[in-house]
Amino acid sequence: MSMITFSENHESSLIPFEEGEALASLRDPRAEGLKWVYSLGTIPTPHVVVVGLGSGFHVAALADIDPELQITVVESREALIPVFRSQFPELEDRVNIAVVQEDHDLFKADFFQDVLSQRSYVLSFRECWGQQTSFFSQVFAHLTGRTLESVKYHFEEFGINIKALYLEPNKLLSIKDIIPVVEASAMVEEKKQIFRILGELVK
Amino acid sequence: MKILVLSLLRLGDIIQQAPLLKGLREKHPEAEIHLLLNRQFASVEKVLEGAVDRYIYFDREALQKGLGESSYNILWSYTQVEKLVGELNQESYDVAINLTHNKLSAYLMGVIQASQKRGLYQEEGRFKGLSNRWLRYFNDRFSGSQKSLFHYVELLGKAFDIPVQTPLAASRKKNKLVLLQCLTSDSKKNWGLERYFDLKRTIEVSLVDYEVCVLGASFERETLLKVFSEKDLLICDLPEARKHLQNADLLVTGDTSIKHMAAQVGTPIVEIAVGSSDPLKTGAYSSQAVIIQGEVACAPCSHSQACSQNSHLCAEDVTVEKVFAAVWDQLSGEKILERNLFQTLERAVWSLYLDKARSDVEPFYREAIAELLSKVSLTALNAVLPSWEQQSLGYRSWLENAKKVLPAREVLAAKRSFQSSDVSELILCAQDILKSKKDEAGYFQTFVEALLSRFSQPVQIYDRVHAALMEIEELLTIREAFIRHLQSLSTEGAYYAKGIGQLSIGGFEEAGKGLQRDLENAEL
Repeated sequence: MSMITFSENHESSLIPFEEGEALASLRDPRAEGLKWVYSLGTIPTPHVVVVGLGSGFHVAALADIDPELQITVVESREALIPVFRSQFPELEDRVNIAVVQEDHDLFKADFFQDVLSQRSYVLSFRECWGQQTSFFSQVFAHLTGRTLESVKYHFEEFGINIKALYLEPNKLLSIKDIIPVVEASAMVEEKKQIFRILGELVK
Repeated sequence: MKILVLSLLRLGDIIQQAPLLKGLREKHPEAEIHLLLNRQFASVEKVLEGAVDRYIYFDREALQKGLGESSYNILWSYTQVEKLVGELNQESYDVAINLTHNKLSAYLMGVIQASQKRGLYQEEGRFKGLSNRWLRYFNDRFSGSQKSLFHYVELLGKAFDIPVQTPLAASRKKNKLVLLQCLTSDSKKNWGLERYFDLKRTIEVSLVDYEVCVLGASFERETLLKVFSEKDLLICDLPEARKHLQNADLLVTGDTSIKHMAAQVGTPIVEIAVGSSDPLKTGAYSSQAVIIQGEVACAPCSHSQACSQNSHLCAEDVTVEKVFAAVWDQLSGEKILERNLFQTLERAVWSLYLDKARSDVEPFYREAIAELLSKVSLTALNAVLPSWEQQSLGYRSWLENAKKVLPAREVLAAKRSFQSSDVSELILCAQDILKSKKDEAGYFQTFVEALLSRFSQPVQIYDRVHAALMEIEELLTIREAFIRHLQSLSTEGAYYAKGIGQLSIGGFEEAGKGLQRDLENAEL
């Protein structure tokens, strides 16, 4: 596990560092978080998952801009959590933080069921990923259902024949990869038909 | 009665379909009509005037975003479509009509529960719904680049038995206003801003009491300002554009949604069809539209491909002088040139064929002739009949040749694998037809397409070609009978002129033959 340290900036905010790399803007983390939130556009689901807690300013900005939004943050560096809670006590009930150390642990986490049932939108704040870029990328892809390992969870209700899925290594899945598998699976015709509609939309 | 209409194409198509929706409303005044359309074209609500009771949106852009952006769950778009289908099925529609006719709409129609489905839909892994000949013709001609004898709106009206009126000339106060709609959705279809500028100047210099303004949407302003000045522009949304069109004496336009709106409000149109614009398929459905096309070999080109030429040849071929001449004719009320007579005759033959529910039903020749004579004079008909008959002989000879060289079904069925050499003579026959360029009405299109199709079993090619030849046989029989009826008519006309009176078309019982002309012997 990498070393996490904190440093106070000119506004007395605590900025985390991982192996000497800042996980937020030192000068203005609040503005950085706001800028990120404004770049997101409309959020299509009532529940979102943010990959990476970092300093938490981006999460606070997100919570601030949409008071109804349910937010879950996935983080592997537990040391960041108490500092976030102390800096943003008002978000105690708004923001759920799930600690995931190994990417496959994700599938056992409680919030993962919400992700599956609500088709939750997943956000990444790469500025706070520090040394965890590879791990968080994998988490991100699992949460959106774009990895081979995660397909069986996301498509569980359809009973698709996963063995028919061909995937090139390191390639993220798209609906185009899934459609031939759907056609080859025993599935209710109406559901197949909806996948065919989606297939036409990506042509 | 609850009717759902699917119209999932672009803005121009939806506006173009307005006469169909109005026709549907006239046919079913008590019905609740719902229209499913792409959300991005929601603005069309303002111009469909009471034809539709409820608009339901298919959020194509959001769904595509959901499928394309990595932040979305891979199944988010699936859930949205499933939700939409659930909402539609809550309505328990009596009839669902697919005006869109593509795979996406066919799949959607497949999951919509309606007592009656009309138009293309997919069920149990098969495309269905081409329930009448008009629909099949529409499917054949509009799914590719083949020419159609009928306008898109006319065809859909016939296919779905919806009465469609060609918009009549509106009685309008003369405002001496000419509108230019210079930009289209595709740069290939643009005639060119400089040419429009020259046209504007030419109109203003030659017709000094006319004002010329340039229509445009707000996002087009910047582009238009590169050539026109701010005071020339009428930047507006769809409802405002409709008002401007109602006040205008003429619209000069490319292939745009605005021209369909002009057609509906009865504004005369000069359409400049360049690039992939195909006037027969997407031209304005109006008796007051004049269409000018670039006469170059590559036009109309494919929608999806960029212009393959070094310069925009089709646009260059349409000169400002040519467009101004059409503007002059339209503004001065000069009679618009009669539609090509050959095409009118071909349309009559194909209508007789397409109106038939089955091959053994006798076509309605009498009605077809009456309709034809309401459009063209007997003298004009007499002038073209001999060459038209000559064409029939040519078609008949192609058909007989194709029948002769089609291998027997048993021969093909006995083959384990299929090679093109097995039907080489048929292929040569098809090549002759294509090279001659004489089959403009597409009598042999299904035959040629049958030979281009892929088959897993050799016998399938026989079945497909045989079915195509049967269709051609039926069409040619109608064409020949129609010619005979027209010839009899002109003969009767000649007798009437001499005061002899009406003679039986069926002939005299004692003579044993009719009054049809014998080409070998000129004597009656």
